[in-house]
Amino acid sequence: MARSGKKLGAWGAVLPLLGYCAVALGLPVWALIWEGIQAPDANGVNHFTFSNFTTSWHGVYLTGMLSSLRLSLLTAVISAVVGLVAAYAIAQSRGRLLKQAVLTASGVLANFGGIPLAFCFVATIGTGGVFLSWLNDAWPSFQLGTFDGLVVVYPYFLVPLMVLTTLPALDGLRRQWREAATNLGGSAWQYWRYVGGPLLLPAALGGFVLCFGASFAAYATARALSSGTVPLVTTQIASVLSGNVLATETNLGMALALNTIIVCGLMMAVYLPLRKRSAKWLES
Amino acid sequence: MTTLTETEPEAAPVRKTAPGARRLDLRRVRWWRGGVLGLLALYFVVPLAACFWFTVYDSRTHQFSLSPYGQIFGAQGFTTSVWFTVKVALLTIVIEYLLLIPAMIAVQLWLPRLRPVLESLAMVPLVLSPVALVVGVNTVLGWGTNQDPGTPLFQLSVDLRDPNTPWILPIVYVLIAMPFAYRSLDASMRTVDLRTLVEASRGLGASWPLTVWRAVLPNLRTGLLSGAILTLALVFGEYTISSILQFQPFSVWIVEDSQGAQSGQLAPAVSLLSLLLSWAVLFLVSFLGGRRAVVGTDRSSA
Amino acid sequence: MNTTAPAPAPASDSAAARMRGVGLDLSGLHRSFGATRALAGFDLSLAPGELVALLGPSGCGKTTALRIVAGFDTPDQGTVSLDGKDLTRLSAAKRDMGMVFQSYSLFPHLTAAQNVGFGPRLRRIGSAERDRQADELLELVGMAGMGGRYPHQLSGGQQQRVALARALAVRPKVLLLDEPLSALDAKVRLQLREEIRRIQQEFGITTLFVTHDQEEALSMADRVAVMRAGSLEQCAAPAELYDRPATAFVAQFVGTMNHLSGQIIEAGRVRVAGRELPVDGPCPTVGTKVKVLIRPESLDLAAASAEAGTAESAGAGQVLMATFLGATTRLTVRLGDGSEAKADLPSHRASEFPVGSRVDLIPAPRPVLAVEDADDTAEG
Repeated sequence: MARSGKKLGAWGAVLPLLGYCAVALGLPVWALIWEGIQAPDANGVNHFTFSNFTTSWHGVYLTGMLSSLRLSLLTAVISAVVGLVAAYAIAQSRGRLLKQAVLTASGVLANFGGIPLAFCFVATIGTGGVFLSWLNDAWPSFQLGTFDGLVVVYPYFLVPLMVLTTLPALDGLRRQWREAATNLGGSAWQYWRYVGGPLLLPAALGGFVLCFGASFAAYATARALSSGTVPLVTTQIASVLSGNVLATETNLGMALALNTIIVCGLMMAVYLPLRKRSAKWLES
Repeated sequence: MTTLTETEPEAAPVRKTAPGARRLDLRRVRWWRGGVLGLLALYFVVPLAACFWFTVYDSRTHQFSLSPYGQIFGAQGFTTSVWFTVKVALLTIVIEYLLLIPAMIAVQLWLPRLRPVLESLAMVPLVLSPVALVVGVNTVLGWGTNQDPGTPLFQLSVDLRDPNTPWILPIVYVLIAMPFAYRSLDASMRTVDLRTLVEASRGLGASWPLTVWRAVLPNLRTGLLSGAILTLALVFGEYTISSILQFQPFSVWIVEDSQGAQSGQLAPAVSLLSLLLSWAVLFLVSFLGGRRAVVGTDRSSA
Repeated sequence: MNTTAPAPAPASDSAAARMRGVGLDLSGLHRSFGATRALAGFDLSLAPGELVALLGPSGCGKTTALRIVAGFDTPDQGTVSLDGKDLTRLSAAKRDMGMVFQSYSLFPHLTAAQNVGFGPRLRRIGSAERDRQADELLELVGMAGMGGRYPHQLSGGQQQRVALARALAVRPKVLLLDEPLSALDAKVRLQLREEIRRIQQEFGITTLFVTHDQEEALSMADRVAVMRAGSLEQCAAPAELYDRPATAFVAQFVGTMNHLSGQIIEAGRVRVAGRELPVDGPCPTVGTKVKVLIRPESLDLAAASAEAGTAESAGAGQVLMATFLGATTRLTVRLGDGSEAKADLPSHRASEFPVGSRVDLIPAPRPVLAVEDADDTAEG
């Protein structure tokens, strides 16, 4: 009747999206898995095997994975701390204009960043960059196209990401909570220990996880700055796929890609419950 | 209730602190905040400023010149790559909204149980890095081209990679841009009472398409606009997928051009200009829209 | 509104035994925010165990005064003292005052019981003792068995009950209530009003209660302090405030008031609606045209004596509207000079004057306030 017709219409409006995602997401992921567990033998015939995964956790690929993890952890920690402090400073300021400017700039940097940012840094502290000689006085071994260089550049898009994820939570901290804690005899430290800290923790950890994920998945910046000299999972995947390697290695590329999905999936498994909790608190 | 008196002895000494203590304290707080914001501004502005300096100052001839900015439009491949990127971006936005708008309205009004499904779809790009996604996409396209020429699947995978209108890029970008578009739309849907709006319009006898077009969309325009701009910025900045699939959009052009002869100033100039332009547009929109909600929060595409 | 104010409630003997309230004194408080003067020489004294309501229009400085007492703000001048001890510069955390905020002040990540136990926890009271206290206090505020719920699982009224229990848990010397009922539904508001009053009396705790709702202030407080533009206008028991307002501002702000045109005929006497009445308080000079302030219940009506159009009687008019209020009916009368007056009559008598009938106003022979015409613009 009219009611069930409405329900049907609603499903009709949702199904295209679901179908689209099933195809556009499902097929590639299925392809990764399907090809990742196969490898051609000497005759070029594919067989099911776990050898790709074994290889992907050994030798240069293990080095790449470890260095990716190290880079992501380090930059995520730096960005999370800096971003949280920055977000707090911004949340405290009253100027609407400043807030808007910072938020939109963060949106652009966190999303659009990659390549344009890399070039700004190349012009600043790359070879022949404006400030390179100054920086080398203080840090002689510094080069942009190295692990250290990436550590300097990555926060440029990770800090804005952290600001974007934690600002809503910081804005959601009500003045009444602070005053109530004070009124009940709490010091500033006690407020942060028992109220502010626990309330912010989910958002802060969530921001950290997002920073980690963004750092781990970053390819463009690393590629543009280091041209592949820093071994990272993402650049290894790209070079495995770029064609000038043996056919067996394309299957290895799938395995490597699956590894990144597993790592990010694990991080999301941590993040999602935290996000849910934080949202509930701040909406009440 | 005898604990009352416990804290009283403390009261006397504290009372004697300087009258100006509170105001001093306030000033210290402001200094702290100013210091933090100042340091951050330094970290974020210096590279941009240095980049600008690098593009206008020639260290060999010691001369200033804005010519790199003048050269941008004449540079080889610039117009082609920008046009290519704009085309891809517009296709992405259109497909994105055609899929999202009806689904989100339906979920909001009749299928609230599906909301978690949409939310998790909007999270997928966070798990599926662009590199991993493009590897999968490349493989699927490879399956198609492994078919015999002339079969529909072969033709489809060739068409998807057509160098002029590569449908595969918008198709993938829709997924990558889902978080932006979803968050922006969701934020503006939360600010309007969709149900009342729809019921009022339907009550006046408007058809469904007319209701969406004349009553719902105008109320969501801030979200629609900012989602579109973020998507545009994402497509312009996206490098991973298009370079691995061997297309030549804007971002790939910047990288490849920088290896060219142009004294290296062109690429930074274009980068700087594109960053500032997209920020200015987004700022303007958010400011006119008067809402903080325009910038979504779940993303990763660096 | 309910005009019978509660008798100045003597705290029951047993309650007084439970807790001895302390006196709170605010004197000469000044506080400016930029060019805005929020407080300009504000004085107020609360007797031990007394509930005083701070009443005034928004922006009159009542919230600033409360925040200064709580220690969230510091006055530019003046002192706050508790039991004779100056605590103007004492940090808010050490004042031993329990505050209930307007809304949303419960810590969202803690359950109701944990919220109540927050203050004791900061005071290093063991968890068993804390839980026991929390249960007791939650029961007191009518929230028994709900200690395990989170704030987002509670209604607005329930949240405020928990907030009250939380404030009481630290055994404060003074209870501060910052419009705690303003965000609630009318029905819940009425119910909580009575309970707050009951608990306050049971504890005998000195309480300062900020509100912009005069009905709330009159029905709950021992005394009501009416504020205007940063200073105290009048502080008196509800009945006195209503019957004998000290100033025209108080008269207009509290309850409904008629403004009838009149003239001072001799020192201390005013002619209004064809009658001569004694003037209460300051009296303008003889001959001045004034507005005379009379409550609707102090106006009576009689069928018109003069025939229409003849001898202009100042109190003659025509019934414009009748509003049934239950035991009484409020008749709105349009007077000869175009102004309107409201008269509350017992409903059976009001039916003698149907809409459209011509009537004479008869003010009750009691002292009235008279203000000069120009001063009539005082905000309400």
